[in-house]
Amino acid sequence: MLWKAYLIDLRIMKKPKPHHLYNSLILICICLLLSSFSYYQTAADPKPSDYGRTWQNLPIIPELSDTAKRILADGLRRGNNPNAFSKVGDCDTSTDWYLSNYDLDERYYNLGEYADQFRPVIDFFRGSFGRRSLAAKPGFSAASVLSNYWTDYSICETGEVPITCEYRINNPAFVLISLGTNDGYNPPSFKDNLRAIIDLTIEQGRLPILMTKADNVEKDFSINQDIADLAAEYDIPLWNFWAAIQEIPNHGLVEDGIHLTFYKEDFSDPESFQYAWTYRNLTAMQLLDKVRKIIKDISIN
Amino acid sequence: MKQLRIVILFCLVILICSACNASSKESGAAKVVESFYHAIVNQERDQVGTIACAAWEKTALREIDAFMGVKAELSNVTCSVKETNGDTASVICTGKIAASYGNEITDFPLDGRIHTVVKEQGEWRLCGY
Repeated sequence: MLWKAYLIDLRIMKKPKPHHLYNSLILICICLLLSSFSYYQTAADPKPSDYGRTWQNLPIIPELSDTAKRILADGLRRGNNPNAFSKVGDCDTSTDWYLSNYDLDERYYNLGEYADQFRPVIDFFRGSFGRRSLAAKPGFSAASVLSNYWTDYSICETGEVPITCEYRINNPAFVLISLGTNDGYNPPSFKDNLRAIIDLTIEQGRLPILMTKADNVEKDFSINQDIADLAAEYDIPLWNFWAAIQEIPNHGLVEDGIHLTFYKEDFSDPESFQYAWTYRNLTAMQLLDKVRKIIKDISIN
Repeated sequence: MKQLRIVILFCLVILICSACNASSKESGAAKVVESFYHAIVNQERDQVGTIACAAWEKTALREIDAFMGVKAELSNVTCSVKETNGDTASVICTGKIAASYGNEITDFPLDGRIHTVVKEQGEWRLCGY
C-alpha cells in the first residue's frame, strides 16, 4: 500500500497542475527578491563583526577617543564624581585582589618602578579601589547586573537593578566592566545584555570601559569578539586584558581555565610577572592613569 | 415541590461547577508563575514562550540568564492567586531561590513580589512583577 501511495505522489510531482507551477514561480521570485534585499542590507550597513575582527592585536591600554572624552565631559557637567569609578563584573571583579589594596597603605602593595606614576592615581581615585561594588558578585552574568533579583534591597531602592543602584550610590565618572565568563554557556544573549549595560551607562554620562576576559569557556572566543565589537561600535575604550597575559604560563589561568593565577601584589618582584593578577592590576592602574589625566584636562577646560 | 427540588439541585450543580472553573482558572495563573521559577533554576530558556506574555518575553529571558552563572534550586516555592480581575491576576509566592557559587550561597526570597499574570490567547502568561 505504501509503495502505491508513493507512486501516486511521484505522478503528481511529474505532472504539476498549471496553477501550482505559477504559485511555485511566484514563491521563487519572492525568495530571490528577499535574498537580494538582505544581501543589499548586509553590503550597505557596516557589520559590527567587522570592527573587532582583529581584537587579539588591539593594544592592551586603549587611547580614549573623542567620543569617550565627550561622554566623560558630559557626565562631569551633569555632576558625576570625577574621582570615582565603579567596577562591574563577576568573581574576578568582586574579589579583594582587584585593585582593593590601593585603598590600604603601602604595606599591602609594592609599586616598584611604577611608584611615581601610580601614587597620583591612588590619591585621585581614593575610595573607589576598595569599594564593594553593588554590581559585582561571584556568578554574575551580564544579565545579572540588570536583574532586580540580584539587587541588594538593604541598600538599594525599589525598582533598582544592581547597576543602577551602584551608579546612584557611587556616582562614578567611568566604569570598568569585566563580564562574560559566566555567559560562556549562552553567548547569543551576552551581546544584547552587554549592549543594554553600555546604553544605560552612557545615558547617565558615565564612560563604560570594556575589558576582554582571560578565559575562553565558550571555546571560540566569541564573547571577546562581542566585547571588542561593541567597544568599536560605541567608540568606547577596550582594555584588552586578554592580550596582556598571553605570554605568561598557562595564559595566566589556573587549572579550571577560568580563574586568574595569583601572586602577592609586588611590582618590584620579577617573579610576580609570571602571574595574571599582577597584569590585571598593573594594566588597570595604567588605564586609570590615562583616564585621570583626561579627567583633569576636562576639569581645567 | 418536586420541581422546586430539581431547580435547587440544578442551581447547586451550576454553582459548584462555576466555582471549580474559577479555581482552575486561578491555579493556571499561579502555575505559570511557578513554571517561571522552575525555568530559572533549570535554565529552560526554551520554555519562555509558554510562560511569559509577548511584551515581557525579553525580560523573562534576561531573568533566566541572570542565574546562568550559579547553581540554583527552589526551596518550598508555592504560588497562589491574590486577586483576579477579568483576564488579569495578581500572584504571590512563598519560598525562595537558593543560588550557590562555590561555597557562597545567596537566597532570593520570593515573598513580597506581586506577579502580574494576564490571559493571552486563552492562556495565562506572566507579564512582570
